[in-house]
Amino acid sequence: MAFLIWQSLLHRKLQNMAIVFSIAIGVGIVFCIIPIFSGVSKGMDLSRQRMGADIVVVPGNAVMEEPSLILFSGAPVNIYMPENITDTIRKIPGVSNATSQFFTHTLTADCCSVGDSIRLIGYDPSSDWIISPWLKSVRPDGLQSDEVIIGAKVQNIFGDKISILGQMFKIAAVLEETGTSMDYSILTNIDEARNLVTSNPQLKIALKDVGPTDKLISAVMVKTTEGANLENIVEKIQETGYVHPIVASEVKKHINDQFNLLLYLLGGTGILIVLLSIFQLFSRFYTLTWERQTEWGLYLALGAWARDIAVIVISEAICVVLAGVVIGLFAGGGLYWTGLQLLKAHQSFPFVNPSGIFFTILSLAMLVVFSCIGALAAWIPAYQGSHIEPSTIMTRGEFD
Amino acid sequence: MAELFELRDVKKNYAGNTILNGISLSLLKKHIIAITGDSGVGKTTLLSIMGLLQQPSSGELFANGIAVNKLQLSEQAKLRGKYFGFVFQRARLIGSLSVLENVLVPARFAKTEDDVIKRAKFLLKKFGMSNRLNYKPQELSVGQLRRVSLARALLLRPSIILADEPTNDLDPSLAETVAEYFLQIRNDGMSVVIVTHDYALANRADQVFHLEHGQLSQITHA
Ligand SMILES: Nc1ncnc2c1ncn2[C@@H]1O[C@H](COP(=O)(O)OP(=O)(O)OP(=O)(O)O)[C@@H](O)[C@H]1O
Ligand SMILES: [Mg+2]
Repeated sequence: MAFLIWQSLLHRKLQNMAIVFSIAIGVGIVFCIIPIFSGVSKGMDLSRQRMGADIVVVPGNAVMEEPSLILFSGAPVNIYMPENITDTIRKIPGVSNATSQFFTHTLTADCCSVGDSIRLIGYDPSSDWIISPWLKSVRPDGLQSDEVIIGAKVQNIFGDKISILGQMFKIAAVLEETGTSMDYSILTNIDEARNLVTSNPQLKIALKDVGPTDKLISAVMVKTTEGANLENIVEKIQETGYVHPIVASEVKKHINDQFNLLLYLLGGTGILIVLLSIFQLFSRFYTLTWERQTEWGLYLALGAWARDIAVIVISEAICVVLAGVVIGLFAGGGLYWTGLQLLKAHQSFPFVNPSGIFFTILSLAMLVVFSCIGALAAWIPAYQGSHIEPSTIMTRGEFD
Repeated sequence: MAELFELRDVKKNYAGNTILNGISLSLLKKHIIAITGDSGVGKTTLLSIMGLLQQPSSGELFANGIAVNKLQLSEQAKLRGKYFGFVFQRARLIGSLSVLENVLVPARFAKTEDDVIKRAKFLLKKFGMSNRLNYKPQELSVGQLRRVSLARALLLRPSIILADEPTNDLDPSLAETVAEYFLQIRNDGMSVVIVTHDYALANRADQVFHLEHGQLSQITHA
């Protein structure tokens, strides 16, 4: 019977190829969209959890095209403000905590990734509440001065050590993937970050007009008390000097809105395409089998049982579906990978790569769903056909 | 001689039109029956009722004493494979299969230990088709299609061959070959029911019937 199936598939090469490709396209798009959907929504969840500050204060001369860049990518590098701002802000009513961060960057082709410079974030362990609690869970005795925390995607060629601006550091911990540019950042003690700048001639020159490095910071992370009036606080912060406060919750909301729209679009398109390809699959197989009832009638006359017909019909459908799904999975995988590269070119995009298990389950689910639908669509008319008189179905389809 | 197959008072109406009006007929083992009649009187209908391809409106069919038209469709399907070989009025081959493969189709649904390929080639040679084994049906003439469907019907040596105008579109010498072969297969224990306009063929049957006004009348006794 395998022979009959194979011959019949070959015989309708063009029709079958058309079905194979329409399945492949549907599967491909879905296989590309679902992981992106999942990656973006996970990335958003994560970045929501990890953005510990309610207000981020950056120097007033920081040029801000898109405030979200600060939340996802950190403050602009190499623009600084005096350290005492942090203390002033801390005293504003409604502010429950404030901590300084100092940003700089590695030089191109310095340590890790050739070409890109990596952002270095110095945090203040004495007041920090964003990084420290997490660090405590992996490293109870805190960060030593010769230690750093690296982002999940910082390429490191020295194993448990890393060379930054010519100095070797021990890697104390690797951050979990956040889907933000934190993944490409290195965290150190704020003093250590400043030292690195001072001891590097190139960076030092860049800073010489601003003042002594050890009194500079790049950003203040502000935590407000529950229910505090953010507007008031922002006003007060602005009074402290030439600074620019960014209300994280507003930005977060703005980003959420943007991404929610994107997610709705992705999800909606995905669902529509799934429905479309299922519908198409069904109608193609249904009409194809219907048209071929004459053939099933003939098989019945030549000694086939209804079961034989079902086997032939379902096997043919499944062969076509499998070919389509497999091609579609490869195409969709390629599309996904390309899309991801594009997304990653913009590092402010929160994205968490779905796991291998996710892809495996997704592939299997598509295989099963599409095979079942194809088999069912082909089997229904064949079943109907094999349960009426052979003479009737043998002549059916001949003249209509 | 043993009664192989029997029709008792078989009637068939299509939407109020009576086509067959009380047909009774017994087919003996190793017998050839010929049925003649004008176009549209119901010869094909009668054959397909005999071959369990459609149900009569009333009446009974017996195969080896079993009332087969009362069986379920699936039971009938089982019986059909073993019992009948069809030569349809229109050849009805599978377009995706070559000549040889078409002849082999019945073997694909039956469990048989026979060397069916050898037999298929033998039959095709018999009917002058051995130089067309790998042709597709679309590449054959009407007479060639008919010869392929003859070979297909004979492949598994079914008890009864139901042949609807088997010698149509064949030249006299080929028609003669087919007639000869039908006589010959009786020796293998097969019986044949032939619907034909070809009196040369009909006259070689053991019994000849004429179908008119829904009734069968016997013309000659062998
Ligand atoms: N499915 C059907 N529905 C309604 N009427 C039918 C059907 N099949 C056959 N008939 C009618 O039954 C009659 C007998 O048809 P049948 O095919 O048995 O004739 P026949 O004797 O084989 O004719 P021919 O010699 O031309 O092949 C015809 O008048 C035809 O119109
Ligand atoms: Mg006819």
